[in-house]
Amino acid sequence: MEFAKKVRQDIITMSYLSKTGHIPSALSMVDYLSVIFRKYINPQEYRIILGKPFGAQSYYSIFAKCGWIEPNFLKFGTKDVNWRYIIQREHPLISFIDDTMGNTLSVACGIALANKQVYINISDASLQEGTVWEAIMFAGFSRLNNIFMTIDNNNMQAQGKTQDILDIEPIKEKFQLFGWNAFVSDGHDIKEITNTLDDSSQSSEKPTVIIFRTIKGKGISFMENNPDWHYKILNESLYNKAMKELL
Amino acid sequence: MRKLLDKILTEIADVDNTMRLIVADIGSFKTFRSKHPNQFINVGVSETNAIGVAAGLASEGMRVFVFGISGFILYRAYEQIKYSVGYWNQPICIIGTGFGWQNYFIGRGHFTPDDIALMRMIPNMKIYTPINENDLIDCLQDRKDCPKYIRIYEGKTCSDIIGKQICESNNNTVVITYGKMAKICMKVVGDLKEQGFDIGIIGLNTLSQECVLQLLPEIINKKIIVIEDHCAIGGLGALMRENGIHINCHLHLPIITEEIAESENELLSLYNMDYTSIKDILIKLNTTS
Repeated sequence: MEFAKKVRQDIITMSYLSKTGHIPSALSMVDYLSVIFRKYINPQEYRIILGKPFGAQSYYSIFAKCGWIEPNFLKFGTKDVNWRYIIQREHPLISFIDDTMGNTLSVACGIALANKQVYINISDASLQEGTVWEAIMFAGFSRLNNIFMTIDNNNMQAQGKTQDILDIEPIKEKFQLFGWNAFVSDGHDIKEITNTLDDSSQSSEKPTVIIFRTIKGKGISFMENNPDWHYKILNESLYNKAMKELL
Repeated sequence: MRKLLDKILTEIADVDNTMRLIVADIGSFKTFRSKHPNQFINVGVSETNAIGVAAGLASEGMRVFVFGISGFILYRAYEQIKYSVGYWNQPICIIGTGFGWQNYFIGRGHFTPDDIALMRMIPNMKIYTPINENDLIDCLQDRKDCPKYIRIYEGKTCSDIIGKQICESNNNTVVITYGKMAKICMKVVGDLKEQGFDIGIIGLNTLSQECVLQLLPEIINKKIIVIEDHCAIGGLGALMRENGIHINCHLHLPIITEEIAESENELLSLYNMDYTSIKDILIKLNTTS
């Protein structure tokens, strides 16, 4: 998809210029976030929560391409632009971000109780945090059907594969047991993403989650599923190599 | 103070349908629950979720109160209070009870001598230590746009303390205290005054650098004794010393890891914070140069 390729180019450029890491975290979300924000989530109708703030380059590029923010890649990562890993409170598009991990689904529950539609994106590793499960239980029990959540299930975290560190599967069945509508989709196949989003948007009395199976670092061969790249930043040579792969 | 709290919160909900009271399965609130069931949220035994839900509601302009045992809600949900409430400056009111020595007899998991120190480190947090009914009403009604921690103690309020300050300019010794200790201190000071001792008492209903600095004109050249149901680290005594105020005597709770007394009274006695010990210390301080 051309749009997603351009987002990946932006991610590589921003990351190189600002010396920002967490690049594979940004790349894994590109495809499904591109579809969601272009066709399904309107910031005028939804409160948006970044439960996975790392990989902010992805959100930044997509929001800029949707015309919601003015892009300024040269200043990404500085306080002038107010984006890097942390976004300050009064942001026109974002209601909350997770300053640490595992806290924002509870916040989403509070917003839902105030009768607002809320969209939240989280990482699969945050399902290792107990705080998330308190909120999952509460949302299902309280039938907060105005919560829509997506999970970037790339099965990689800081120290290696999620399944080897603390396996969180079966994710879909766990959510269903806690009273959610749960769906699984390939996170890079645009057709499957779209079909799943259509299926999940049928009215329901339950909160909804889509588990997107993704590849960490998708699109850059030397980053894909490579845990060494969790924190690393690009030098000039690797920047050029990455951009060549995205031509 | 709990029945009073139920009454005041119910009165707030009577006129404000954006008000929500959140608990993690603690506190009866009979009146509130019967009159405003839709404004009462019990999240179950999930303190971290309670704070997150509160933050979400507050972000949508709701007026939010969270009630809990201080040792549970503050410790378990400290990260959430720090980030979702403090850093995001959500105007949530966290009402804590059972702090200090109040629930000592239940066990060390209920002994909380450090709640003020913890809350002082939360960005934007304002700390209230109401002594009497008016203090409690004022701090609950306070609509300041910042997070608040209110310490309410068990038992009846000090309705006989009129105003927070009974310090006369010619007192040579001043007791500075807050919360439930103000009840004990008020009794001691009152009895000593009847015996001709020259002692004043200041009861603080908020703890901040600002309120401590405002004390300076009242306490200059006086002997100061600070008495608090909190440990030495991070409480009122620490706050005063941080602002360059010399304290002649500081009575405070210990940080302990095992049971050292069989009751709260015995614990207070061990640390010179019971009526008799405070009286003896005040007499000695007042009569020595």
